Amino acid sequence: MKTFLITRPRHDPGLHILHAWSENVITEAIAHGWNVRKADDKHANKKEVQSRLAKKPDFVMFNGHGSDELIQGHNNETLVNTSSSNLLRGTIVYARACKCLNRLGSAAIKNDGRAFIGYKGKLIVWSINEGAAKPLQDPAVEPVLTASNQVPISILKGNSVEEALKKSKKVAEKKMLELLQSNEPYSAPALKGLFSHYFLIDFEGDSTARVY
Amino acid sequence: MADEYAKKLIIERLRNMPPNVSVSIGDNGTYSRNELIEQVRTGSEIGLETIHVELEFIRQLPRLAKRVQG
Repeated sequence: MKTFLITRPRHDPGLHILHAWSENVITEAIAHGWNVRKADDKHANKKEVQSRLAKKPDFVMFNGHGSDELIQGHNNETLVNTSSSNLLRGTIVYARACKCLNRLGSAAIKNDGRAFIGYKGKLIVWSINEGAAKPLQDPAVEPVLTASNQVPISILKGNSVEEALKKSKKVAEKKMLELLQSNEPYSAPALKGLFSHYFLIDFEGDSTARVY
Repeated sequence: MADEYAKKLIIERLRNMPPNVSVSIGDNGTYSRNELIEQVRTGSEIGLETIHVELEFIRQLPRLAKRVQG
């Protein structure tokens, strides 16, 4: 059975949004017959996540903070860095974290990772203050995370890395067109968030990598 | 140091955003609109990064509009 590992720390407002929006990804994974392994909240720690990575999941999605060289989990503990990137061998990764495509992505591929999808810069998410309790209903958040979610959902459905990125960008372009023509008060912050996803997402590794 | 014109431009752009929005900038934290304006005004690291991101957004906007409108 195909195995999907997802990390969902939730110790600050930005991560709370990513956590909530990952629920839909998990639902899709289950619907498509994946064995889902969640590392939520305090379970998104180095020991537990590295133990699960050692079991070689087919697809890994990290939500968290990041830098050029690493991805963090609960309370910003480093989960994987360039030195431990061999743990990503044989897997497809989507890192919903800032900057880590730059060096961690390259290191993962040098250590025989299949593909690493991530961001070249800082992923910026605008939100409405009153929407903090209900991030799934926040119109400033919805466009960027709908486009972002298209990446893992496409992989979970058996699409290649290249196809997943194309589908995500297509969703983003459709939403950007709507936002550019909108007079809604939250279209400007929503567009800025979508812009960061659209221009910063990229990948290293095999563009044809997929999980059947 | 950021160009003073760029700083004023970005502050005005942020002032045109709804007052009840916040932005999460990776592990730099979450800032309300007014807090972000203050970061730009004082030229902090977050403020300078905001200026950079906003200027890039302005530069890319015509290309973006052309691309998404086909």
